[in-house]
Amino acid sequence: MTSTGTENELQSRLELLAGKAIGDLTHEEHVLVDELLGEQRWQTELWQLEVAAAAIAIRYGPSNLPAKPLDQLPKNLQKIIENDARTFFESQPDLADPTARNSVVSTLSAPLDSKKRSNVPIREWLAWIACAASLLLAMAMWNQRSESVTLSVAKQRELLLESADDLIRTKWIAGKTPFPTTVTGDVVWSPKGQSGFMRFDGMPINDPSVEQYQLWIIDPSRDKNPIDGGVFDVKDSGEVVIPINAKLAVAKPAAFAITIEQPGGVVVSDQSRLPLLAAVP
Amino acid sequence: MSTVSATFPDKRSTADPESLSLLERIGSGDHDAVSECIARYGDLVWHLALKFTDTTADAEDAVQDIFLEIWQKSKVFDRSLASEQTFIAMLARRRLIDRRRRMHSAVTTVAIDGEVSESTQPPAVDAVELCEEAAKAAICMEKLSSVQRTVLTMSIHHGHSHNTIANFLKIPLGTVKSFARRGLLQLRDCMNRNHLTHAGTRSS
Repeated sequence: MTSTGTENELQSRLELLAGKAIGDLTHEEHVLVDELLGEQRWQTELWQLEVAAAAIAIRYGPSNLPAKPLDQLPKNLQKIIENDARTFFESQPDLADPTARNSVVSTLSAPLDSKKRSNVPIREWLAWIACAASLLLAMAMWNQRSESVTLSVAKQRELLLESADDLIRTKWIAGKTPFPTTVTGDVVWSPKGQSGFMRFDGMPINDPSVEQYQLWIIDPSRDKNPIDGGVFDVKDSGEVVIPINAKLAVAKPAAFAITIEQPGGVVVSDQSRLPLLAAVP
Repeated sequence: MSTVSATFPDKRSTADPESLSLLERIGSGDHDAVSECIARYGDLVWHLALKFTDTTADAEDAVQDIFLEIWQKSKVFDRSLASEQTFIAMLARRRLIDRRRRMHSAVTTVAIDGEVSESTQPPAVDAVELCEEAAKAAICMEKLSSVQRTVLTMSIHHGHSHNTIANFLKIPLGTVKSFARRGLLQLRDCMNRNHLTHAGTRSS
């Protein structure tokens, strides 16, 4: 290759990295950049470009503009972030304050609403558990995708997976009203920690103004009625992780079920739309 | 994919506890610094999130996500590579860019009105008030062409798509892309020439 050709190639690569720092890459360019970033040299170049872009952002940032209420972090959000931080540090063994270990990991991206207990007869839930068991056998092969598109809460899930010695883990299978496309994923739950996460891949994005997803935890050892696990939304088309927000203590879960409900969820589900189930083996 | 942790050595163990930055304090387990960090940088992160998202709800989600990233990365912050403010803005932008890509949503596509056009002009500020990198960027931005400056501010500050910028400036889309990318490279080179960033001298 000629020196001019080499220079052109270098410039082309640098421009790709600049596009990464700006955030304007096409899908094809992303692939090229990902390859480049296997080398330390290009990582350093990208770092410098990101610094430059961040510097521009600060240059025009709120501290350099006349103060306006809309430019200020809302107070309620500030409190949520502080709570998130508390939860995060509690889940970090190396950083945690040992005096604050009793809180439940459940506040990140928490389901939207808190509902009272359902009165659905447990026999109906158990019928679906039986269905779930048979379907589980049919799902011997399960394609696990990379975790490159998860949110930070996914890291919380990983921490739970690493740290909990009582972890329950079970896969989602189709319920009585399955989604039109295949949805995979799993549920993890720590009875001691009373915390857990749902992971979905391919879950349809919902319009929260029309309908929302609601988790139910079936725990016959505790109560004949399913426990409300929280209302939540799916905003990403890829893999998403949602923390479980059980409204009551869960003693020995037998299954988890997802229903589709009106915005805000329901107190009693009629189970008319029950697309996913996960039976505890 | 590059990661901050792959680039940054952890130097906290040799730092003087009395002079630790907020992130260094958080990284070493001082959770009292969390509230201070939110108070100091919350507006900056919020401002960036509003530029990258379509709704306030999305912005709120993004800000929560960004601060979690900040707590996680606090352990690898190295003040010799960037100021705390720049480091946080970088993490925020990375997260917002990734988030926007994941959601397959276009960059803000609202029509540009007079207010946006007017605000592409940088506010007059004393460079001394800015962190080191931003102060240098302010000086180096002045060395770019007027069009490059406008494209970069519309793209990076306002979060406008290149399509929107092309329509507004009435120049071809490919030209906008070139102006933005080459403008950022020139800006980086200018900042490096003045020895105000040192990341290129480090290795993992």
